[in-house]
Amino acid sequence: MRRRPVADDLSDIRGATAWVVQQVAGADILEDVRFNIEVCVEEALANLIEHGRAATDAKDIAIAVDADPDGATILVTDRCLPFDGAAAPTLDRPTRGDMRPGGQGLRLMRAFASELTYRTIDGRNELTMRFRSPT
Amino acid sequence: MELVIEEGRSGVTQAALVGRMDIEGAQTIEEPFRVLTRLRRALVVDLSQVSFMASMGLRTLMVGARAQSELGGRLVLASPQPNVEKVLKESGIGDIIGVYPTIEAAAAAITA
Repeated sequence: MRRRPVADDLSDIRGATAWVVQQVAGADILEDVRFNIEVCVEEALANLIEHGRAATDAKDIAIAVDADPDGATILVTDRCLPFDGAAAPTLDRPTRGDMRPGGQGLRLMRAFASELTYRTIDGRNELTMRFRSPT
Repeated sequence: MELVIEEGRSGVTQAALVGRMDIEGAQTIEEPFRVLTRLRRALVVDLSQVSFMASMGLRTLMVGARAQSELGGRLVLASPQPNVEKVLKESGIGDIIGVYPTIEAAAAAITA
């Protein structure tokens, strides 16, 4: 997989997302799926940068990509305190009586990724997001 | 990300968002959009030139819609591209704010 480090700074997310799009460009990924990838990459990185707490001295965030005709796999790694975004409860959808502005990131990731898996190995967290192309 | 404001007929203000409503884009227009939603009482947000939206973009829209609601006004969305509409639907925010296929339909809904 090709890998790119990501700075612990929201301003690096656009560049990281553009890098992912560049990596999958040659794999004939449909625009619809590419859009889903971009949303999930932004949400996963924003979550780590805004809410992640480094387990030791640095978050050490990185993103890796593998694409093929069947779809793409995105691996986001970090050394924050573990947070399983694949299993954590999502907030209820807002309503007219509860127009709270935030809390939609996890919902979008679960809706737009075909599969999300999370594990921690030797202090390194791995969020794997799989995006399957429609058959 | 740009915010282009146009005063329409019947007291409806049209605000066109242009660009990527990702974190960077949402941060760029957050303040002018917030001010706009405090100054107008009928606002159609034209999304036809928004190519991308994630949760920070949704947040910006929701903050604006809530401000309008608190002031007795109304903000609605018009002409989203299919993928942006998908984000609005999945989050449930489209159902709350109101999404219309054209600017004319959105303006008519506000003034009805």
